[in-house]
Amino acid sequence: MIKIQSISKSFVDKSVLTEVSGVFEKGKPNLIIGASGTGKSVLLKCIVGLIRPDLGQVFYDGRDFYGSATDTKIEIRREMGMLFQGGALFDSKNVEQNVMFPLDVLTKMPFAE
Amino acid sequence: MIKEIGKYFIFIGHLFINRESFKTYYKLVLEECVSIGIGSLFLVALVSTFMGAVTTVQTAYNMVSDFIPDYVISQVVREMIVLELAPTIIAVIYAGKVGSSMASGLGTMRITEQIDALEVMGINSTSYLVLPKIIASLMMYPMLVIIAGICGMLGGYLAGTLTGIITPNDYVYGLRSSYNEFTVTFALIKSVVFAFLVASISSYKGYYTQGGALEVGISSTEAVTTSVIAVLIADYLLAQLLLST
Repeated sequence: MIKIQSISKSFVDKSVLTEVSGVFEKGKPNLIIGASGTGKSVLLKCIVGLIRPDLGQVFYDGRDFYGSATDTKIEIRREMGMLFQGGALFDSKNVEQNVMFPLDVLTKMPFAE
Repeated sequence: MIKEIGKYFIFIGHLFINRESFKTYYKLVLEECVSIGIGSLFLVALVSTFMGAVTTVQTAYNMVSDFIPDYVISQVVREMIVLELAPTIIAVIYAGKVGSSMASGLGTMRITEQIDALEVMGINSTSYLVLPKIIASLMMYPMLVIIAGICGMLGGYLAGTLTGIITPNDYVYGLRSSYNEFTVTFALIKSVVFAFLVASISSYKGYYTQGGALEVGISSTEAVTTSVIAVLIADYLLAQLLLST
């Protein structure tokens, strides 16, 4: 379960998110909709830790993401998956290498496996 | 300016935390070595050969006195190539070729969210992407400088002997006379420092690219400009520190 609590984020003098809270339960699809430029991507990036919110907390199964040590953050991140707007495929690698990438870097699995 | 320097040092610090396995870096470093070393070999050899040739011709042109023996020409060529031309001028070319390529590569990865994707996977993107480039640069640039030195002296030999400026014997004698080994050590120290500066500054500029395709170009240009300025400042400081009596 992912729980977000009073997330606020502003860029220079433009406030994008103001005290956004919510709960995303395991196994349930959730939808965030809004007009262009309203902060949907910023919210998602705050949830996965790519943008640090000015205020607020994000909990993954009760674990405070921003309050955790780096090791715990990495552990939480390795449980995540995110599909980026532009695909974010490693264009210097082929399809097989892209699919294999996390297995190759994050595990000690032999190539044949 | 101070903020930028601070951000650069934090970036350098991030290279050494939460690193991946040795196997991962081994592969990446080898790939970068091929790209940096083999990819720059032709340009470095070409530029340094002509640099040596031009230095020989210009030194001979300025040595108008009959009291100065011909072998002094190759002595001057040797000192100029080893002390300055091979490490420093090649560093400027290196920044233009390798530095801009590093910055644009990382910049493109940033704007296409490939760096964000690495971060989401729990991979330290700084360490994964930049550390191999810096290690490969530290390994390959000193070798390029050695090759540049050899090619430069060879270029000088060819230009000097083929045009009749100096005899082959005088040229070789000049290269060998009053040789101070420390000049080579100094050139290698400079090459290690310049390699680190070019690779780290260019990676930093590319890594923090924001915007689109146009900004990648700007980052690439800034990477070359900043690297060259840093190389020139470091060149002066090293000369002052290691050569001043």
